[in-house]
Amino acid sequence: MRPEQREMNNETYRVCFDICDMVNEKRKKGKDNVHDYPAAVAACAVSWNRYRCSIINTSGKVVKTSFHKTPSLEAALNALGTIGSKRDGCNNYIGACAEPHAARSVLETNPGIAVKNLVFSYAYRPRTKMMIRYCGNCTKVFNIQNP
Amino acid sequence: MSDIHYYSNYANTRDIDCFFRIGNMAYHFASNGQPIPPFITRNTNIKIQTAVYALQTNSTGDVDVNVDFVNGLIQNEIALYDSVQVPQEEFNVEQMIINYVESFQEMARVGFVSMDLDEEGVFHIIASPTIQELPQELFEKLPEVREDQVRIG
Repeated sequence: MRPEQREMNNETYRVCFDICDMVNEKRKKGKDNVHDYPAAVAACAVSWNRYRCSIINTSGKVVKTSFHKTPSLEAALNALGTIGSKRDGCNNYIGACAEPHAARSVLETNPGIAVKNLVFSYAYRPRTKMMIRYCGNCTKVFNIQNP
Repeated sequence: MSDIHYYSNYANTRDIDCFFRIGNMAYHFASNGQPIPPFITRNTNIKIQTAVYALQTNSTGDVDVNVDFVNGLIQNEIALYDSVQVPQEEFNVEQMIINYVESFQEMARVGFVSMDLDEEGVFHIIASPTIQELPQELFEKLPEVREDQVRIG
């Protein structure tokens, strides 16, 4: 593993703890009726040289217009199928994983970067802080590989 | 007012605390981004969540942890890291176990048999209460499920 990826992984791992704290704090306050953990968290950066500027995001609901501001990512996701739908061979909804959400955040501020050149931490499950394998959608769109 | 099911695109991206009962046993499971079984309905589940989280603040019950299952998961996790050449000395196995079981233990302390849901739709018991102390009023709110409706591994 590249040292930069290890750094990104460590930072993403720390964010898992922050998310757990946040969810638990919400529970204690009881203000909000929704206390669900995100299923996954992952970090994305424009290159290994700039991993310190990575953006961490969580899995979340998507609609067809979610990626309108990042046309290259929208096109890459649409090449798999309609954004927000499922395709054969992957249990996840296209665009709903933590990786595309993190990638969108990165591309909104760095629109010239090619989607396939983005780099990612591994994904983690905030409830347990265990590593999650990249899904079939993410490996195809981002040209990333599972260990 | 009729209740609704969790939208599948929401459930897919969330790790939701869900609750039900079989006979006189109360169960919790973490949905782990997997489809939510049809016997769990959203509004009822949110009401139960709120009641359970309120109980968690002063719960002190003893729990049993399914050590064999958890150790197996942790070994798989270490193998995964090992395959990308993370040195063994970077693993704090004890901390990894604590991180994994913490939320399940909290549910067991309240009085639930607490389970994780895998990608095959199989429930795995992670932590169990030594004495079931769930308030009767809350127990009666849990959706009643038949044994053949869940696959417990």
